[in-house]
Amino acid sequence: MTSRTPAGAVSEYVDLIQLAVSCVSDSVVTVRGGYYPSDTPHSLQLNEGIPVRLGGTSRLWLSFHQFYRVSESEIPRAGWTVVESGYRYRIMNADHREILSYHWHPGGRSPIAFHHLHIGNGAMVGREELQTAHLPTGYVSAGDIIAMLIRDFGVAPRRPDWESILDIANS
Amino acid sequence: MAVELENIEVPQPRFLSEEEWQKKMERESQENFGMSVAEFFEAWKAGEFEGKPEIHDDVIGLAMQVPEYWKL
Repeated sequence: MTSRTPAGAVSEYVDLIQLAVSCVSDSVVTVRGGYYPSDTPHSLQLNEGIPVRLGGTSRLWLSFHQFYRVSESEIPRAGWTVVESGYRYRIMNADHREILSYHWHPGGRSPIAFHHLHIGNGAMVGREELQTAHLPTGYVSAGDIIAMLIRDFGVAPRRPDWESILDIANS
Repeated sequence: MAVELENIEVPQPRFLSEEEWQKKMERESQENFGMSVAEFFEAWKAGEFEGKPEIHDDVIGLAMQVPEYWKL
């Protein structure tokens, strides 16, 4: 997805994330005013980083945080695009204990630069290594997480066209 | 092929100023770690939060918001 201006690219990207979120929550996506190209990525959070309660019988909570850069498309004169540069998606149980946390935090001092998954004690998996393991994954999008919550965790979708929305968000 | 979506109201994303975001980070740092963002980041660089899986997500989440994180 490209836009004629950096600000337009960010607005389109954020609107798409907000639309995906609307499948499971009426919470607002908050963005750290980053409409411009920068060496330091801009931040985007769900509900200012405060976990949101999801509908459905499983009583789960979700928080997420993304980092993105604005860059010119590699296609000449195609305009500007938003490129993700990091994320964390955290799913918690009713007691706010972490079940799953998908991370990608390249840079910094961590040697773990690949996309990975943490299994928290809310998952009730007993093996000790899994409390600290960085389980490799591929790239995971906000749409992937929301689809998984609806499909596999019994989270109630807030709109009947959620599958179409998440297809669009992931395209 | 165009997909017709339901006409359901979607909230508007909220764009925070740098000042508002700094306040949000300070609140997050005080609530989660009982220290300022500057103190938190120094402690993180010194490895003081390592080996604590119960706070790993909060640590990574805040550290990545500090611009210096991306320059290390």
